[in-house]
Amino acid sequence: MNSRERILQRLYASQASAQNPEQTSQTTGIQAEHAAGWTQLAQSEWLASFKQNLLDNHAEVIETTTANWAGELAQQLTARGVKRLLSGEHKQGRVLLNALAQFAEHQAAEQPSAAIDVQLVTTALSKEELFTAVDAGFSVASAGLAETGSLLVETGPQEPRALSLVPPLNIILLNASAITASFLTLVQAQKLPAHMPTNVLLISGPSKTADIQQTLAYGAHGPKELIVLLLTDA
Amino acid sequence: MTEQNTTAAASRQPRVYPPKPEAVYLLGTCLVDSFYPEAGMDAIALLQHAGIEVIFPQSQSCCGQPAYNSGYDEQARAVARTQLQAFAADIPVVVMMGSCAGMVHKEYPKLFAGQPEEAAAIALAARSYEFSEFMVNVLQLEQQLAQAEDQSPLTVALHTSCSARRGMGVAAEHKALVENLPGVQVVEPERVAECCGFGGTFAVKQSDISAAMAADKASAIAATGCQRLVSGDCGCLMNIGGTLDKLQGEKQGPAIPVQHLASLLYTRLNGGDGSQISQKRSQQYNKKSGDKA
Amino acid sequence: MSQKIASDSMHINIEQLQQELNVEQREFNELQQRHFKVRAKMALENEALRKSFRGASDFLMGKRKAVFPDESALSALRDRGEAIRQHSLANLPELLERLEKNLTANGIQVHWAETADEACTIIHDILTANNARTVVKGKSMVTEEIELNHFLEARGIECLESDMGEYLVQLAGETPSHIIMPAIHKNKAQIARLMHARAQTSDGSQVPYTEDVDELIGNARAILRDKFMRADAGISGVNMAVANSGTLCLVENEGNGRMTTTMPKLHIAVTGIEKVVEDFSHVPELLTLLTRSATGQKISTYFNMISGPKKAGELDGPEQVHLVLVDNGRSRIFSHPVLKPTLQCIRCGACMNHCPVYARVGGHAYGSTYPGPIGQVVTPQIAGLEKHGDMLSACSLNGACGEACPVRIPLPELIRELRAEAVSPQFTDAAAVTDATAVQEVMGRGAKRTLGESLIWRGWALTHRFAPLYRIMTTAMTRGRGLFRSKAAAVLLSPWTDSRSTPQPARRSLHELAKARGVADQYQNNTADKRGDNA
Repeated sequence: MNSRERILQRLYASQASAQNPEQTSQTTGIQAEHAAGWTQLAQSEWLASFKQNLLDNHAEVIETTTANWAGELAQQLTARGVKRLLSGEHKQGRVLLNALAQFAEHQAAEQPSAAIDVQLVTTALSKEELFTAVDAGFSVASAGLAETGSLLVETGPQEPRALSLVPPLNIILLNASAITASFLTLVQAQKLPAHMPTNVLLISGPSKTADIQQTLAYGAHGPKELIVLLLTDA
Repeated sequence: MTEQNTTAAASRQPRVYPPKPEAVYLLGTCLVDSFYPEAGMDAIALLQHAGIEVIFPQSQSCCGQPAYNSGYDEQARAVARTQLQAFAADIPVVVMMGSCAGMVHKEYPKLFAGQPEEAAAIALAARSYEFSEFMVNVLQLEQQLAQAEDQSPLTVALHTSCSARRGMGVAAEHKALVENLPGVQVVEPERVAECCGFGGTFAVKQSDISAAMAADKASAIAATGCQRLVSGDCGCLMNIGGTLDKLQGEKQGPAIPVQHLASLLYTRLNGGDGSQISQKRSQQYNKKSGDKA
Repeated sequence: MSQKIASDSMHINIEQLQQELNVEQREFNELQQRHFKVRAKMALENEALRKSFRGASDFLMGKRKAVFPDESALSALRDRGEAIRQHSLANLPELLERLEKNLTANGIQVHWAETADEACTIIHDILTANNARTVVKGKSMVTEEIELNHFLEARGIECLESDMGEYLVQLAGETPSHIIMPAIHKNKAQIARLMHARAQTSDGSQVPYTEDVDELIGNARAILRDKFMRADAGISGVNMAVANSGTLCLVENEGNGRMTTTMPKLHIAVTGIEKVVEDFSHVPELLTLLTRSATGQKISTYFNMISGPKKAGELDGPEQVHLVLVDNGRSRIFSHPVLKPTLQCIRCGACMNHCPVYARVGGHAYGSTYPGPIGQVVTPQIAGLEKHGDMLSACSLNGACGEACPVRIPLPELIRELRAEAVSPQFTDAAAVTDATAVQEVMGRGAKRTLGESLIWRGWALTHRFAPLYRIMTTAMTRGRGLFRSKAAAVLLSPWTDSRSTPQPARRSLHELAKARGVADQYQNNTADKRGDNA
């Protein structure tokens, strides 16, 4: 008998001898009352709560529109001196690429050095480059959670994991209509993918730590800053 | 009594209280018995004033908690069995301390699970009440304090023991009784809900940690500027009071007499002048103030 | 001292500082070998340590309270947490099998380890099979429990902790003093000295002395990001393993957990078998209970759900993901009818944050991976009462831990139960509990029973059982009350009287006073009879 079999045998043996009458009632109880438990925000409060929680967690929220977000972001990036940005190869990434190209044309006359190098990644990333030569990563969230100010990011071929992790500046785009009350309501509405992608994330701010004398410091190992672009018309 | 359902959820259901009974038992507790008997007598007087006959079984001793908390279940059971016999009649039991009330009300059913006395233990548990719990929920005493004889100003720090607060859930009852006494101002020490460090045998087995906790508690109480420390548990009173004495002896704190809640209530209602404060301690104070004078 | 270092010439001071830190580390290791009481006493006398723990406890209790403003909502949520965890345990073997099946289908390789040593060996084998020489670790208490770092380092594998607190603790050559905030026992100045003396940047130079937290974190960040970039493997813990979807969930703020599980080619997750939950629908409430109870956060910065290695077409992520399921005594805990709720724990640390004993002696006094109330419950069960039974007395049974526990583990009851196991008259040898019998006793049952103590309790029972004996005793106490102030009593009562005035019995016991006052001794349900009966 191997370890697996021995462990399982012990567990099954104890389970059988326990004859626990509570077992069944707890099993049914758990199915019955899902929503009991935590505060439910009214839909009218979702947006404000979502924004406030992100602000409380040191993120920046920019409310914008489908037409304007890329232009606004271009300004933000220029203001921050971002030189190199990576995005997954998706629709929004291409929109950003175009917007930055246009922006660069406008700016070229006054500030020739202001051009931002945007790359839609399609091949495996060099770690060295990623850690040392990229200022910002751009990601798209599929849902937002009002109760906690969280962004659901599903990674995959078009959404590499490292983009929201390694660069010091993390930018995440979200449609306001994708905001829901909480993680609990999201799960209950079965909005998590039926077959989970290899890596799904809830992101609720820039990376942080309070491990030194309970003093909060941002930019622990991951992003130092998080900008959330909230599309109010989408 | 059909308190068969002893699951965690069931034990969190609010307790249902009986109407005022004709007679009750008083479970004095061993600590009150030898060290704070005046508290027991004051409780008896309060109950009698309310028109209740008080029975004090002479065969009672200790609830068994010291052995139980140390893991000596067999010895705890032997002593608890004596109490099952002493308090056998089907009338409410008023317990003078929160920790002993918790032992009888919460632990007896577990201690006697599968034993011949299980039913008796469950029944006793169901009709046992901590002192303040009974005074408030059965007698509504907190509503009858306006006519107290002694309404002189008095600043009181209230220490609700951990077993009263968390075990029995009667912190509100303690507060209601003291706050409704005319003239009494209740002050709250810092970290009011933190343990004073008594914990029965803990105070002996881990005396260094216990002393550190008691010192913090005593300092917090001294810092309130209170004139008296009141509690429903004499272990805490002995622990904090003893530490306060030591602080005072080392000129680090004021003299703060300690008193069981029952004695505070009785003396305020009947115009006592504080003479009911534990004899031992008042003597000590007289001696100390005499020394100083 | 710190200012001196900052301003003076660096070279000389660094050597001096390094020597000081070596001495401190030696002292720490020596102290960890001693008895609980010695460690506790040393901790109580250490002003800086007392301040660190008091400050941290107050801070964390305050933060938790602020995110649970509504008592009844908290209570309802704790009910749910308890129900979810109990449901997981009630179905534990089935859920583990389902978890294994679904993880395997997702491409995650599952391993089972009965003991700490077996878990370490499995991990070592995976690493060597992949030629991994450098490992970055995400925060994981179970790898502390199985002492993985020692095991791997003894075999030539570099094992670097990457959680900021764990990194600092490893740098100091110590162990975590708290399960959520490992370096809680150190203040800024101590960490500044530590970083300056022992941390090296990736180019091998010394980290400049600073007490500025942002700078300290920035320095550690630079060092650790370089390691994330280069490490051959990442080892992490797991907060919840979801059986139905085959998903490993990790809760963190720093990003080191994501780094560890994303950047290296090989990811090995390690978890105790109790961390499984059935379905994703059980996750949100446990998550909110965990972060709110642990650090007073509504949610952590990252909630990382891993359901497989990098798939075809994906540009990053580990090529292999392994899960090591560790038993190490848990199946024995599972078999115990009273102690089973130990396994409900979600490792939030709220019990230690609320424990007045922990607040005073700190985590290292316990001498075990898990300190505080949950440590007092877990450690003797996984490592035996003989070695770790002494810490059970360091509890006043005040109930603060049980009140804070988000999944309602009755911690004080479990501590009391373990005390009973420790002094049980039936001795159970450690060797006798490895069989797969249905109900197994706690390892080292009866190990703490002594003749002296059991005689004391027998004598106590005798005097409190028989009313006449009890009355003789109280009479002797009250009549002999003066003796309590005697020299002999002072010696006998010294654990009490060293810090308190001597208690003195009353002149007459309540028994006597009640009798003298004519208080009835027995209840007679006949009002006519009972008055005359009180002679």
